[in-house]
Amino acid sequence: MNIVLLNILNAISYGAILFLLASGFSLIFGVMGVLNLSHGALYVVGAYMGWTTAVAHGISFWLGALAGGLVAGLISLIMEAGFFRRLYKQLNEQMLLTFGFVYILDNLSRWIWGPSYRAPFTSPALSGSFTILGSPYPAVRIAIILIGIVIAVGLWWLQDKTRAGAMIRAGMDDKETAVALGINLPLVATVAFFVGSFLAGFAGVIGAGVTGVYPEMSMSVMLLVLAVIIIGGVGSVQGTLVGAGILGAIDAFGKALFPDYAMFTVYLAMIIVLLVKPSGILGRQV
Amino acid sequence: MGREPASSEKQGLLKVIRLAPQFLILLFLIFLIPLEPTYIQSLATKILIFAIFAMSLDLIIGYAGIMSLGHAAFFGAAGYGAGILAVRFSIDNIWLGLASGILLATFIAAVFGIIALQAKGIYSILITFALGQLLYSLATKWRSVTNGDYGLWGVPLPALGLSGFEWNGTYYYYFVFLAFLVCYLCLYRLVKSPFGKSLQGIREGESRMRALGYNTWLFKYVAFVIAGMFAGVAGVLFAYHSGIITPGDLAVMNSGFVMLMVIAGGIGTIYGAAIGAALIITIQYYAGILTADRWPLILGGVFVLTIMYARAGVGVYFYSLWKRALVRWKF
Amino acid sequence: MEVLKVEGLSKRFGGVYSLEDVSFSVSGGERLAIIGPNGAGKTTLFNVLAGQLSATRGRVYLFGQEITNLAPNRRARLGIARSFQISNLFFNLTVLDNTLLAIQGRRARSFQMFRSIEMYGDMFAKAKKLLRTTDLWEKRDDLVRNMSHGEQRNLEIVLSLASEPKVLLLDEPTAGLTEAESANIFKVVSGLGSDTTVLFVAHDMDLVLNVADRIIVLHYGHTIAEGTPEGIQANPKVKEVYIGIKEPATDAEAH
Repeated sequence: MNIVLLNILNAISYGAILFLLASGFSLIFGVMGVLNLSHGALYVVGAYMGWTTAVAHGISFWLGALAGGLVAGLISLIMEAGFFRRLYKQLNEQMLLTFGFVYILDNLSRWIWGPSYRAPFTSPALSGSFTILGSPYPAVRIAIILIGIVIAVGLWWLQDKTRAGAMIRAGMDDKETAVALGINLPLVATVAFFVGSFLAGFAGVIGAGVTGVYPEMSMSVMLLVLAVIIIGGVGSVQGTLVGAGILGAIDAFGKALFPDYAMFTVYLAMIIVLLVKPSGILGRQV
Repeated sequence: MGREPASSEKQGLLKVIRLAPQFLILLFLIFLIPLEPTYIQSLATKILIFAIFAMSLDLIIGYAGIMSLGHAAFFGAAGYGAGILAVRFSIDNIWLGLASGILLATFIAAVFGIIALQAKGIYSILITFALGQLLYSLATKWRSVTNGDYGLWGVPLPALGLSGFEWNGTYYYYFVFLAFLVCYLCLYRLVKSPFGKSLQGIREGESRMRALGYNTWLFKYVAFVIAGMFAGVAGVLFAYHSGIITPGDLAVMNSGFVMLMVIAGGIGTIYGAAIGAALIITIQYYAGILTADRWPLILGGVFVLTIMYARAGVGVYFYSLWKRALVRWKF
Repeated sequence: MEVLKVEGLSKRFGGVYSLEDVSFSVSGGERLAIIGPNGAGKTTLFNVLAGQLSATRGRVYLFGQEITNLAPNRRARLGIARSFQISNLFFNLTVLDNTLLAIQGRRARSFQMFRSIEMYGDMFAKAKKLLRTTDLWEKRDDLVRNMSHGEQRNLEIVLSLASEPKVLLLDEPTAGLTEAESANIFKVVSGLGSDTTVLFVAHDMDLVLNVADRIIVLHYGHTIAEGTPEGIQANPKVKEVYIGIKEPATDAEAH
């Protein structure tokens, strides 16, 4: 296969994982105003949960993905009901709280699943490869791309074409007016938090096919989320798509061109975007 | 503030009485700690080092109102600066080590400050996170210089420059204590000065400060760089104390660790950060003895509990008790 | 002498023009009132003049020098000061600290790092004088967030006066104040000499008619009338858009 096409496919598949992750984070931030620094940890927990279901117990991979998402969502509910609600409107404190949760989640993951690296795993149906233009390409990555597209379309449709999406966007833009219009913001917030965290856990299982899992991942994952947000802008599906796409491309081509320093191209991109358009390429004016 | 002056003798005596807690703490640190076993002295040294680190962070989050998740970058960078000088270049002079570490930290803060303060709102916070992780990645990848994930070990305590002088734990403790004292006094003076008050004004209402004529960006930037410099002091002292500096010392998790100290002790007071450092390091130490692997869990729990129930700060709480007692006893 | 000049000033937010083609000039020592119904663009005008907002079109000149794109802090250093319609105070600092910061703003001293702020006796004396004019001296060690609304509005005025501005923009200075408090502000503003040029936005017609040398009426971002108090009162266009212009206001609710 043409090396460029290979890298493009790698970029899109990696970008798809980032998109799933970052859209959850963006949703949570947009509606609740909270920077959920434990989002990366939720990815990791979801991935581990998926591993336990699919690999350790041999149950369906897709159930594992669901389980991963649900566990992450459940954790978010605990965080929200038990802690965030008591710190109503104190956004800095809520962010710091998520930091504390990173310690807890990281260590719990280590405790339950041990410190070793889990090799990339995926559904048995996807462990082969498809032949594209005469060369084999991992099926799992194709699946990731397809899932990413489906969810991207779904989220976009939700955001722009449904009442629920309108309520969420209203909550993001002007909380007071939204409440005045009778929108139940606390409920919207809880739902958004759950959905966003579910996406993180789900992304963890799906993405594990490419990244594998290990306990120290949470902060590196978090960094990627932040990179997507900084580059693409927060608050819209389109922004997250742009950010994830660019980051996927940087990662794929970076790894191909300078394998040891691929990470730094990410930072470079972030800094450039920051200096040129501080709220991200498609970001709403902060 | 705004009190009519009483007779100067009475004033002097009153001042001494009001400063009783500070005197007691100083006496404790100067005379009692060196009598304790070595592991206590080592713990006290570590506390004082992190106190400097935490106070420097308080300058930016408590006074300038800049939320930074990457402060450990300056701490770690200085540690590496000193460590590299000692291990890779075998330079045996503590003053050179301090100078190189602090200069490195200050330089990095000067660069990061421009990038971080460029952004607005949440993007500013995210960028501090990213910059912190950037340095972490650099430390893990640049193996030839930093020894990567294994960390730069074997960092010796370089010579003081006095002939015949040999370091030991107690001497180093005193050295760190002096450094702490100097840093505390400098920061204290700084926050009470017009510059410090201006920072508080910026934290409370940046638009008003601009309308009043202040170049608020410049103030924040200078505060950011100064904070980075002091974090660098702590970083160098830390490297010599631990004998090893690892990428983790630069990481965001370490930034969060020191932020916990500032919050636990009381944001925006300088002394609060020092008290918070004492608290958290002690908890970490004993948690580590209790359970070798699960102490981060305890720390996370402390983190969450502090934010939920003690975010005004334990240090501030006790200080307010003391002030109320003073009023009651008519001092 | 022309102290402030505004030429063709327009400000657009999305699809709406908050200000459209506003032009006027102000002479030294003049008291100019800006009035108009809610939403007319009065606060937006002040925001553009003081620099909190940038103009979409048009120019602003201060003492003959163009300041259209100058940052707010640079404009403050040239002698503009303003009060905010919604109190923009340092809530967790004391009244005295608020005042000292305002006094210090135009001076080079603010970068001093090694002496305590209390050591600057001259600033202290000035703060005392300023706070006395609004009965806030006794409350100097109180935190702003613990003060009453009226006290906060008084402090808001104090902060705008602290830098001894050459051009003072007062945005609804008596909003939310009792009759007595309003009268006091009126006295303070009247007491400013001819070195200070004052523009003020007000709904309190007593204040406007008694203090203003000239009045400009805004409506949907346009100037619809300009003239002396008597002229404006008689102007049929003004009566048409601004009902109740002859009634002395007993309230002054914020928008």
